[in-house]
Amino acid sequence: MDANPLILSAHLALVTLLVLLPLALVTARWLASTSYAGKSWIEGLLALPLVLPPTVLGFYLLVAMGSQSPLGQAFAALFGTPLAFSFTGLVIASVIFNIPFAVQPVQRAFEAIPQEVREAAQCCGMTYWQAFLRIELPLAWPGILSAAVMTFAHTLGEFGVVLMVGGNIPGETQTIAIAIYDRAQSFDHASAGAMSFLLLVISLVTIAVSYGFVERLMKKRRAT
Amino acid sequence: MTLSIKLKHAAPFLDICVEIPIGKITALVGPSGSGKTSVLRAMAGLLRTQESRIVLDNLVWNDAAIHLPTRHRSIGFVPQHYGLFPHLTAQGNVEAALLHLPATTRVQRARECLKLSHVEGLETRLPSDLSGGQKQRVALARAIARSPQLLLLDEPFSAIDYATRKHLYAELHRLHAELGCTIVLVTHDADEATRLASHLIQIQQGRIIF
Repeated sequence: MDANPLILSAHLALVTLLVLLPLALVTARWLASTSYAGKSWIEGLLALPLVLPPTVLGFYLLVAMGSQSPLGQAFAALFGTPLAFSFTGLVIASVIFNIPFAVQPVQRAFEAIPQEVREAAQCCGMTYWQAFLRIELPLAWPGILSAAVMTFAHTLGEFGVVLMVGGNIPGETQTIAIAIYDRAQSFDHASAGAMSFLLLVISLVTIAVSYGFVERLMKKRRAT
Repeated sequence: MTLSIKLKHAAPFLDICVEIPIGKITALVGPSGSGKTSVLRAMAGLLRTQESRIVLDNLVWNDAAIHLPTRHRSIGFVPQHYGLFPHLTAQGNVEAALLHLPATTRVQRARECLKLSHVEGLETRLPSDLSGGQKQRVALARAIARSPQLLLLDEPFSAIDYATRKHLYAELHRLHAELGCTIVLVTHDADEATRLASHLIQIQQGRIIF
């Protein structure tokens, strides 16, 4: 079995996580505390990747990154390579289609922190950042972990957007999901089966371990 | 301490003007929804209002132009459900109020406060492993940690059984005698107010009755 698609997928998932998680933390914290009138529109916009067919999202991203688009032209002028059908293009697409998977669990986790606890932090003389780092972040940790696992697992398995934006270039944009499709199309069912089983096991183990960890953490705090 | 609080958007509309005696225990008494917790929150700086004026020792905490942030007010606050940080131990909760101190001093001071509140031996326990009375004591230890001029207690004994409550009344008197700070407590229980406070303010529908 060719390990390259799995390594590329893991690499893509890791880079996506590193880029998206800090952005998700800031956005989720803001959404959890704001009463801004347009909040539901922003939440709706961020949740769009959940309801849009991946091909629709992929099509718009392809148009936005194509060689005729301002973004595509700017990228080509700066780095001398096209953005679409490149690993960088895949990372941008991956960050965008994972936004709801990263933001929503973190937002719910911040929203679950009782107002009384936030106020107690202020009364303890903490600055905004002290309260954020010492109180809110540890309390939101189960949600942050869920977001990280969901983003990682979802990136490993994403097919439609990756195919639209990255195509099927071995070593550059051929992720494990694309490779499975490629092998199945060429009747190499042994490879397709092995890769599918591996993806299934990785996804199941990742999610089960994180759920178990989150459950243990929540149990500890539930009685408070 | 001069206290003049107007909250137009609160329910009920709040309009009180009162002197809180320094160094004494004052009880704000009134039925649920009378606005007494809003008064306490305004004193703590958790409610912003431009029409209120709060002055302590000639230092303006709040008026039309000034809103001293909560963290800069010399207060200790015990909210109704204690507001303990669930991921920190009893010791960690008290240390959280002492972040301005060096680590070794912080640990020492937190131990002193836990001792003052009679919760020695529980330092390593999480709030989820404490009883109601123990949580209340830890919250009190955290509130006194920064040696505040003003200690604010919101229905501090409402979730505690009668026997423990009677014991805690005596402990609050002892703490007050040792610390000498001004204490303002909110309660809907007139009996509790008369047992604890030397000065009573009754609030009803956002206004002072006596």
